[in-house]
Amino acid sequence: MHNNKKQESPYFFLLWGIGLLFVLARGKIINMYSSGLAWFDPWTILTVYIFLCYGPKKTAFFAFSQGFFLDIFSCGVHGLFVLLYLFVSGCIYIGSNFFDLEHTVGQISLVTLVMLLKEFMFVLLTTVFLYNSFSLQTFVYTSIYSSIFTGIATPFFFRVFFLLAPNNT
Amino acid sequence: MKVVTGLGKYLSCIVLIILTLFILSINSEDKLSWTPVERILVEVTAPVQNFITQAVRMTKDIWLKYFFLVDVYESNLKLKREINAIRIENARYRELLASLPRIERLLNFTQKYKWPVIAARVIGWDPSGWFQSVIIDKGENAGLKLDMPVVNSYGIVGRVVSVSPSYAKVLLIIDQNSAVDCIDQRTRDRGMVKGKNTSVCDVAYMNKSCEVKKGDIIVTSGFGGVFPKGIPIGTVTEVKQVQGELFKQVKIKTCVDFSKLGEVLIIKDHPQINFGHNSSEKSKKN
Repeated sequence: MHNNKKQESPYFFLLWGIGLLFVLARGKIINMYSSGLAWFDPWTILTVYIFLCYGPKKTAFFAFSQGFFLDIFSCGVHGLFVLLYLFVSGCIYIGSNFFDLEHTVGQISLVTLVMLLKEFMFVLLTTVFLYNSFSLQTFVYTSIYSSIFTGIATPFFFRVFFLLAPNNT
Repeated sequence: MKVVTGLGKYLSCIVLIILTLFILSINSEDKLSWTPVERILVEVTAPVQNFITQAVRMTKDIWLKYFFLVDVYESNLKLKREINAIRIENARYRELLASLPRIERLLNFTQKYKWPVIAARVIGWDPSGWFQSVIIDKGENAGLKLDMPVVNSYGIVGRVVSVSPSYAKVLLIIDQNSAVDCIDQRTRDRGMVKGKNTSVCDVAYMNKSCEVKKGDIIVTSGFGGVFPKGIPIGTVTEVKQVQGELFKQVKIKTCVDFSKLGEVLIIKDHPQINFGHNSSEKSKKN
């Protein structure tokens, strides 16, 4: 479906900039307002939207670069988030064959599923690469909350991105 | 013809005088109301008068409310701009005033410990939500090196884990990957403070025989190789003795409120540690 849509490159870079803005400001926002905001993952939503509009190549580029910046500003091992978001883009690529990303239900379902897989992958990677792993309880709660929260928020953000898009393509 | 004309003039004058006398004679009866003729004349002329009055009023209004208000509008804008500037300035002063006690406490800290320190401001927080680190606005150019301890007036904050010329990343002690060698200030029992991503940390490896109790203050031991001795870490909130386990389960609440972290001090050098000799080796976490 992404081949049928032609959006201009500046908009892709705008979305990329929004992703970077989230990298720079998210921690502060979580710290200032609520830790519950940590459940919301803007990069997964952006990755799905970019996949829908620009296809797998730009999605991989987006995932790689955003993951890279997350690694810089976060305190995990280097490459953790790059690998994680490349995994996310891979999941989206496969999942797009089973879910219709043009429709709300498909968007919510895919994002929720991808988020769950992402959290599972995260715990797997931190267990392998970091000495300490997160407690199972924390992982389960956070995974479920963030998957549902991000999944439900997806159609709203898709609508906003669609309205921001040049010519609403 | 001239005689007739002259006579006509006189006649006209006489008629006018008679008419005036007639009108006067009518008003002599103290009747101030208009006569029918006067009424007619008033009805004809008053609208014109009204028009003139309205026109004058309108002109006056236009002058006062428009031409004159152009200046008022501009001065209003100017005043609004001044108010906004004053408000911003006021907010800045309030912020400075609020930061004054924090800075005073930091100054007290530097006077108390006498270590060379670098003051820095927290500019960013970990975006992932899974880890606990901050970005500070000082880096290599200010003399920062890897593994330098970061503190504030309340106690230990963390240690420097990444440095760029102008910025540095600090791993907070509440992070899952952080471990700080500690002792109980009262009993001198040793342990290891481990982060749990919240303001409550675990103290591991505290022997069963140790006499740690709720309310004790846990400080850095100075043995870990990073933090100098005696900096407060937290207060014991819970002590549990679980059967079959070698160590006590101890929980502490950190002295530092990490949600309000604003200014921090980086200890450049202290007697126990000399930074920079093995920074590349220490860059590996834990």
